[in-house]
Amino acid sequence: MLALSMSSCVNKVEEVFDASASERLEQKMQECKQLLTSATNGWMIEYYPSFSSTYFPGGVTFAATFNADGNVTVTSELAVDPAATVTSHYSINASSSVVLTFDTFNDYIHYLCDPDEYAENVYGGDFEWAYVEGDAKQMVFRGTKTDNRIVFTALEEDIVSCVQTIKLIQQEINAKLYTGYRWTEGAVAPAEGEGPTDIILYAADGGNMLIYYPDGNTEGAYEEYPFAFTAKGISLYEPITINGITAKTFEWDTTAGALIATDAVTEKGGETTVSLAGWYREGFVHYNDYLGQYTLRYKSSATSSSYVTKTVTLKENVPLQSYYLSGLHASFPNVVVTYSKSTSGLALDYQPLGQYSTRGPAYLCPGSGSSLMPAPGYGWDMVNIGEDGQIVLQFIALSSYGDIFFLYNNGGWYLISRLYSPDTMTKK
Amino acid sequence: MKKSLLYIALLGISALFCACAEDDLSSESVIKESINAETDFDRWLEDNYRAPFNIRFLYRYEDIETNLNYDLTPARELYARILAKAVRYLWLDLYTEQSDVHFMREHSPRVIMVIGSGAHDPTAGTVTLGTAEGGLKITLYVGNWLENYVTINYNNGVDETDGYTVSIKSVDDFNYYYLHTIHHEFAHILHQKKEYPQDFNVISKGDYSAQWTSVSDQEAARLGFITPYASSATHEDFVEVYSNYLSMNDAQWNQRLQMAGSVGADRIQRKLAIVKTYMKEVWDIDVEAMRASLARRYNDIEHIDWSNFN
Repeated sequence: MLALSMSSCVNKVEEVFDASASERLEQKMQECKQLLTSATNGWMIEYYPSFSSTYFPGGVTFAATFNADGNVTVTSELAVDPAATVTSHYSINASSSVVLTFDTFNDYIHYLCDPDEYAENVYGGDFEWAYVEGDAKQMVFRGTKTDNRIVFTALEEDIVSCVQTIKLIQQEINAKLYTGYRWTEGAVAPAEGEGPTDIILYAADGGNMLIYYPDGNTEGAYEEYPFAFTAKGISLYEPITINGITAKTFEWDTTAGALIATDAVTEKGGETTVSLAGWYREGFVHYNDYLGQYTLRYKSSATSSSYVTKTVTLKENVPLQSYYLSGLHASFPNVVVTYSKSTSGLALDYQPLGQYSTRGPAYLCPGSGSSLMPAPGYGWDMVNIGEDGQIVLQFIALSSYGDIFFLYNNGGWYLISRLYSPDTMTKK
Repeated sequence: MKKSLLYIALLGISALFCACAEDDLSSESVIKESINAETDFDRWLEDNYRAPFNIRFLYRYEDIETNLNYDLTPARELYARILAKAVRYLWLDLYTEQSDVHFMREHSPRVIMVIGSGAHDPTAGTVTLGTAEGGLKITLYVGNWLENYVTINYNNGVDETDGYTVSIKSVDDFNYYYLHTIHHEFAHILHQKKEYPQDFNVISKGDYSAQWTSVSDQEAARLGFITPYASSATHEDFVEVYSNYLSMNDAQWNQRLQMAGSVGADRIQRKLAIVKTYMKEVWDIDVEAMRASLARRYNDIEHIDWSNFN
């Protein structure tokens, strides 16, 4: 009993930390704020919303300056004009850890977490970021919902120039419409067909993501590599390792048409060189290659077995996405034809064509005999069947309605003209 | 016996020893000032909500104050500013005018929080516009939808830096999404403090149903409910009669009565009579005078100095 009472007198517990928990939390909050505001030009932010979102897979790059007065000014690669910055508030609070919260609405930051448009948070983003560690050059956060790593890099230029540079690189790469990239050991990509066995990282449709099939079988298992654009190229969320070489950060080389790794290392840790050389699948036709004049072949009547021709033209509408097809009918020079990067084919669909003089709204739609199908989703795929670089677009009707009707509606459908059984468009 | 006394004495000594070995208290307080800077709006809220009424008006998102079951986004600061002015003028000042300054100090909720997005439940396909928690806190969701219901006229034509005026595009929507929620929830607080007469509950006895979402305006009215939601429970009925009577104009109110038919209209009128008597006898508030004042305030709303927070 005596021993027991004596031991209870020496109840001093060795402190693990020098400061109390609340003091350490306070220090970490101060550190976070001090670092955020210390970068006078601001930070480039590689941000990843949800990896499982089908709406925008991959990373998004922001640039932001944080002021001591609680204002944060943001721009984003998703901005139409990066110079249109948006200012809102931020705060640093301690909840489960030190958390940076964008606590009033910011169009760029909250766009990727806003549930209003689709009645749920479809992009799966976060606007509360837990502070992990940092110094004057780099800070690391994690999304509180996604747990995704968010990396801040201190800028030497201002935030608008940073995002403008990023967008230029992004536009240049996106305009190439690469099917993917060949993993090429060596800085300069060998010419098509001369490289080693092709290892392809496919570019995902929409979003910033590369897809790799380790077995080379595009029907088989795959790995996803989300990335964010940087001022020089791209940065993968997690490094990729192929043939014992590991790399994460790549710089865009315009001349080579390749992303060249700046941090590639071998298994033993030695520096090496590897690049991702832009690559197209066989039979790919670039959007730009379709621009120009064509000879359209179609039948002169429903019963005729012979074809007649006329000259039509594909002009740019939305770059890399759609064209205007003129020449089908003199009154309608702006029929829209869409381009698909994944098939590199075109499509002509039912569409409204604006007013037809004073008679009523005009439409292009598929039809057959005296039947019409004026509804979206009915029309034609236009598939390139040309050989040796020649472009020959074959019309493939998506329903049994195979004739192109031009109509106007004035309490009923009235025919303006029709083209029977369009067959091919051959580029001149 | 002697032995046990000795033990007791020893225990006493050991207890003293323990007390001697206690650490000194740290001179450093663990309560620190916020490291986040205050804005002019924060100071205005202090002067117009916190100090006079002990209400914390929260517009900067704090996760611990929100419902973690939802994906939410913060309010745009400009919209929070507009709502703060509107709630003050159309609710706090209204009651203060009809009663006295102590009334809202005593009875208002302690927290009003504005969230930018709706509280969407993707599974149920519903969106929550507002909630009240035990008389202590009212949360207004959909603050960012305000852009659909007001027109903001910037003095410099571009942004808010040189001030702005606000005109309400749709008073009905403005009411429905924001002010009605506050009047509704505040009426709950009042009847939770002092219950209304049970006569009210028997008027539509047997017609209350949890399936109110599948009831149309007309079906509800014919049963004597001013809105479908009023048919969900007696307390909801009571606050819906009160809050709708306050915020509807005569034409809107009479249209509901007409829709209700003679039986439904009679029930609604009897409910309203109980509401009026209750408000007068229990809280000394004249509902007719309050309603007239609210209508006048809506007419005058464009004269609020919307962008001045000094």
